[in-house]
Amino acid sequence: MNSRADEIRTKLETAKYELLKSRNVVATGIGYKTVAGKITSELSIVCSVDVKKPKNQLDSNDLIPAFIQDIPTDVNPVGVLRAFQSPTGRFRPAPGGVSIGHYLITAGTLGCLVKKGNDIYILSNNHVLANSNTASAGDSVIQPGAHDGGQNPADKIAELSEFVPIIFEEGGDGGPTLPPCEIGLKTAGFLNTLASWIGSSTRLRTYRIQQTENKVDCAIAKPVNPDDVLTEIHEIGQISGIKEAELGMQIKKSGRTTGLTHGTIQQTNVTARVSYGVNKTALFTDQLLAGAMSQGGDSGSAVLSEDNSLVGLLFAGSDTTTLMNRIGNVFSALNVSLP
Amino acid sequence: MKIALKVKRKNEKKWLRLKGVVAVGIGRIEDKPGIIVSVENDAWLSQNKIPSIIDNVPIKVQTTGRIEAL
Repeated sequence: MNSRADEIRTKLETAKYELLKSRNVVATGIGYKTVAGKITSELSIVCSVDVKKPKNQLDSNDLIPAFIQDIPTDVNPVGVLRAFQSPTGRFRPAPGGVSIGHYLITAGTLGCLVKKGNDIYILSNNHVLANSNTASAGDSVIQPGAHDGGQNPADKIAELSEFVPIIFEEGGDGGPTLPPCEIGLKTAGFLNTLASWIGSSTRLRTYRIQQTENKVDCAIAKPVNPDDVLTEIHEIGQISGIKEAELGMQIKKSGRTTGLTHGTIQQTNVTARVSYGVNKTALFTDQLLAGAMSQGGDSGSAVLSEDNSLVGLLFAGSDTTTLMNRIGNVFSALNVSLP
Repeated sequence: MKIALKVKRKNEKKWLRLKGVVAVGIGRIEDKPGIIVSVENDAWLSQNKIPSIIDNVPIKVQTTGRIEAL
């Protein structure tokens, strides 16, 4: 058999250039021929195509001959081949699981796309898209994040739209508290009144949604061009729906730093004190806790069950734990749904 | 599960005020619903005491390190 493989290899060396001229062929190689879905013991030249089409839909130049000299061919549909790309790279369109961030932060992870009204938004953490309460609506969000070489405005992918402020603890270990947003509210109200007088249909919205206790670290940003983002998640694929996480549930995430990792929900109803840099902490309730499956930069990752249902939004962790918001709390705080 | 949640609600504020406690959650302890108290380091365990059972609900203390925003 080896000598037959060697013989085919020699012939393929010259034949591959002709085969790759066909518009549908994305790869050539040697493999066992498949007939009616079953692998035979006959070696063949396998032409991988993006989609297998009936002969009558193909241009005569794109047809693959049944034999090349005495070697049978086989046509194998594989879809479009893409080079594996690191999640820290620049993606257009960008899927979930890749590097993103407010232009003044290092880098976090693009979670997934969500829908609000008729518009599509990028979902991630407040501390990724809104620089932990300090950003303003309309601020640039870049992909990849600044730490991964992203530049503003060259790599701008979206603008911050809304975020849920994090309430930081006061005194002791606590740091700065939430800056008052009353002025923002009053300004928006005044400008909206003004807009109504002059007949403008555009209203300024206040971009902060207050929470009484921290249940979420989340924000949404509006893509500059909807064609620049994808509903799928890098290395995972499409989200199938949303689900409540339960103790013992197997989960996975795709993130900017550690890529695709798996874990188990070890605790629910978690109240946790989370550090946001030096002397700045915030207490979160109703969280989910899993084992080690993330590192710095994975914040904002969508957490899914093994059947691709969305269950959480990753935002914190230690060497041995990963902490995430319940997706139900995130969706209700931001009033969003899956696209 | 309900009793574990009740015991957790009653005690978590007190526990989280102790320096070094980073999280309190509901988990499984030997296949029973219980309360897991996460602390920053092993030294905490020798200096502090949390009961191992309250109202029949098992309580486990585990070291996780500081929990940080990622």
